[in-house]
Amino acid sequence: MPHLTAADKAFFRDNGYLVKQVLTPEQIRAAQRALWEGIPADRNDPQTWIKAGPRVPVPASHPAIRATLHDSPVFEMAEELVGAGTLSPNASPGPHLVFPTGETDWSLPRIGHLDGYYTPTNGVAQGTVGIFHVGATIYVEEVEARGAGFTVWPGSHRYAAEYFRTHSLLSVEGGVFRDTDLGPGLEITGPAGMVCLWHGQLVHSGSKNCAARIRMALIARLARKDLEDIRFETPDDMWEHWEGMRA
Amino acid sequence: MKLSLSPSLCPKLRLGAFLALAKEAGFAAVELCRTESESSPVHPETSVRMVRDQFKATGLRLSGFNIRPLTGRKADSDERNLGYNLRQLEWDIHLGRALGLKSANLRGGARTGEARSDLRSGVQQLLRRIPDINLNLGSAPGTALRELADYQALIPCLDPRARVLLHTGALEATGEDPLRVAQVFGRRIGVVHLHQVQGCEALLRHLRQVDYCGELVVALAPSAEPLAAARQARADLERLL
Repeated sequence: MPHLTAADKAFFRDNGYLVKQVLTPEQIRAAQRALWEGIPADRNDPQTWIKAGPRVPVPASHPAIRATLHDSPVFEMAEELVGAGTLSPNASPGPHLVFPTGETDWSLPRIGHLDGYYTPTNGVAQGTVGIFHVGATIYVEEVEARGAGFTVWPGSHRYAAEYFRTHSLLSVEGGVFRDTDLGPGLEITGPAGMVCLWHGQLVHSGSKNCAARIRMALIARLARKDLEDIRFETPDDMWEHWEGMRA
Repeated sequence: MKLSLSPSLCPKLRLGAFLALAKEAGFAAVELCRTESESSPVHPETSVRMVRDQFKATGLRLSGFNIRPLTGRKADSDERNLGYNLRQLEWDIHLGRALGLKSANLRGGARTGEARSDLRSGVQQLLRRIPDINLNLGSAPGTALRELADYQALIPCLDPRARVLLHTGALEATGEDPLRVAQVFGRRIGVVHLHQVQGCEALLRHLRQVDYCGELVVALAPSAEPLAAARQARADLERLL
């Protein structure tokens, strides 16, 4: 029984992202417990959460964290988009926490970026791009407006596909399309247990947390098993390597 | 032996201009370099499909790709980090594969024990990870691979898919005789780069004797008259062959 409808896929095709409720209450509680194991703040005292840390309190390999991708419908949903049996099963969802700042001057980020691009400090090797097909941002705590929600530029995946037909994959310094108006970003808000599936070439960003809750997001980047054979391909049909989108 | 032209004689030409020059000089194949040449397939305004289209339009064959060196170090900080460097090389190798190649040419890092160790380990790791390619290891003055003794210490330790890139100019620059290297590694030579055609008669004779049937790449020094130099080199080589 598929998780995604034809309407879901059509929305993803147009916008480059898709939001679905996926985790059970027990999966949410287990993931929250796992994250709190690594947060040196008082879980019952929100005042202690302000500007706390760390951003990655437990590794992505923690069973309760990994379960949010592999024991939930998320991985299967991603394969419904890209194609059954096509995605490498080795990915894990890495925690990306954003703690409340205690501040109120929030604004939507002006620019976003593509993931996988070199900066001097992010570990990506210079002159390479970490390419993947589907990102999955899983909220294990409610994210309200101005709460550092994952911010996307709807439709920017189509711009990227067109751009890379005539430019090197390496030509986008830091993953930022400079001097390009991609329209306004959209902050994704929603309850715990929600996933935002997004195209690997969708422009996105984080934002400041001016809400009371910790933004508890887990992010997985899923690539095709045959990535090494297709990573440089920029076909006329941007969905050529997405069998699920052609079904 | 198959003749090919390296962009070494015209490093400032963009890909389209280099391909046109090679074709006009009578070559049927060319090599490309990841760095040190404007004809690199890595250019901000060029996608891989555009590179393929340019080859298709000229009818030339891509015979080889000189990728970034295996130094074992980060390029931006010089910190030792073999894994980081290998990710760069894997990217380049897969770029070559996307252009239809089954081999890549590379050099080693500095002339230190550390760099030699990283070269040996790095080549083995790359060959394990990418099972459908050969790696041709080139020498250069001041690097971990400089002369015959360096090859003799390294090559027997490596997977048979690691081959010798015999570069006459690089060997001669350190006082090494390319013929001697060819005599020791005849059947392990993956590609030959000729820095100049004059004086290579004995080497070519030996390559014929060992049935070398790989690429013979004309890799001349930068020239003010690259078309004339390329044309002359091709004509001289065809006479010798």
